[in-house]
Amino acid sequence: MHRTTFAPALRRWTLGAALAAASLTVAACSDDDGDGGNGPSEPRSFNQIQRLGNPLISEVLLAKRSHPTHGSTGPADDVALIGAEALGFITGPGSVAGRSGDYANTLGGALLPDMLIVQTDKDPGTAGWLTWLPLAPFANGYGGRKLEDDVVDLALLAVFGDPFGADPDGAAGKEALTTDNVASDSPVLSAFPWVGEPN
Amino acid sequence: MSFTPTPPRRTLAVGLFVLAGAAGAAGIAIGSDHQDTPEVELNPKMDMTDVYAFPGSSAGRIALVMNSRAFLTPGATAADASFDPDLLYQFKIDNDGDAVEDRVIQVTFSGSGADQQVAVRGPVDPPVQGAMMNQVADVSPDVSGAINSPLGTSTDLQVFTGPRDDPFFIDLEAAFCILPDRKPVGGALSAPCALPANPTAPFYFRTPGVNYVQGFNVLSIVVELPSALLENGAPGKLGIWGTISR
Repeated sequence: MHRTTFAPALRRWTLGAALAAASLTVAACSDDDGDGGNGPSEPRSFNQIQRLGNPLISEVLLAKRSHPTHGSTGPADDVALIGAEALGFITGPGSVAGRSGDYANTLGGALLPDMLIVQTDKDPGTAGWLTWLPLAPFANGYGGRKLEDDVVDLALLAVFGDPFGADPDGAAGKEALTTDNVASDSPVLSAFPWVGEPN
Repeated sequence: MSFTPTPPRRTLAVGLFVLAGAAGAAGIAIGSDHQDTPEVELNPKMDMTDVYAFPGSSAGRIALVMNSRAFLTPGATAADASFDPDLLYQFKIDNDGDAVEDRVIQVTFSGSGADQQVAVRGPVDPPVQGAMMNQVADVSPDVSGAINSPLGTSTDLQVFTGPRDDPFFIDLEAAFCILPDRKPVGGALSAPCALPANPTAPFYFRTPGVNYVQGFNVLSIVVELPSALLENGAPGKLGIWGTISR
């Protein structure tokens, strides 16, 4: 039996609202104010088909059948729409990761709603995926995601390891799963536009 | 953000989740977001692969990167190595902790091939919040010009769009062998696992791993700007995500 509760702050993001948003279809909708063409030449509306915040959420925690749901909704709906499935990957009978419920809570709090968290009031020298977390070994830092961050190993460590020291029993025996043994080899630039020249 | 973690025990008291039961999760594609749905496999220019956010060239600046078009080959034609002019690419930024965008940077393209032009609007208040019925802001582009060249200024909004090396790295072949249900529908990765049998079934990674993404390109949208343009009046916490809409 599935049972999911949510923090009060997000209760207003109800499934009903999410379904209402998802039920909207492509339709012509004029935004042309007749100002002579500052905006688009042809009025048009766009519906979202892809979304990405954290590099972990949809591909690791969600079955492929759920990717279109994640891709066509916003982070405010994540807990209602994908929270239970994401949690079911991490913990519970038949889960892939086989972790404790407490650990799943901690991890879920770090990753949902699915956004890259940046703290612009923190030292830019601490930038990196999940460094914003106030949980050791992270440092309540700048966060974000750098081009060279090994997000695969970080994701594997988060799912199968015990980076917070909160679930050693759940991580036992899964050590070989915490790295794919691949390192960054991209020619990242030290100045704008940052991303390496094409091959 | 609404679920800012606290030390584990307090986090549990806050309770993002209560234990769910079995989810029936039978697979994993330990990757970023390359070819994550059959639809984007068939329409690769719709396929967003990664989003990045990191400090920019000088104090107070932030760089945002959205990559798309997974596994673009070096020999791709100019038509294939350009963006879809029918799509709206957006960086969305929540600056008040409700996981709803307060600022957006909108990127659109016109034309095709090497002569393609880009128009960037923002950061602006979103004309429509949420995932559906989004509209391009009815304002003149803040930066516009040809793809494949730096645009804008290093003190304000700076933009680059075009093919770049895919900075993502993963042993994708091994990942799909470990848990195969999220393989793409077509292409080399859709084939049955060709690696030796797992010595410790069902999970293992080979050593050394093989970076399956090495040598491939993506279509990058890079913007750099003062982070103050994204903030809610003062430096603080931002939630950032990328979207592609049609």
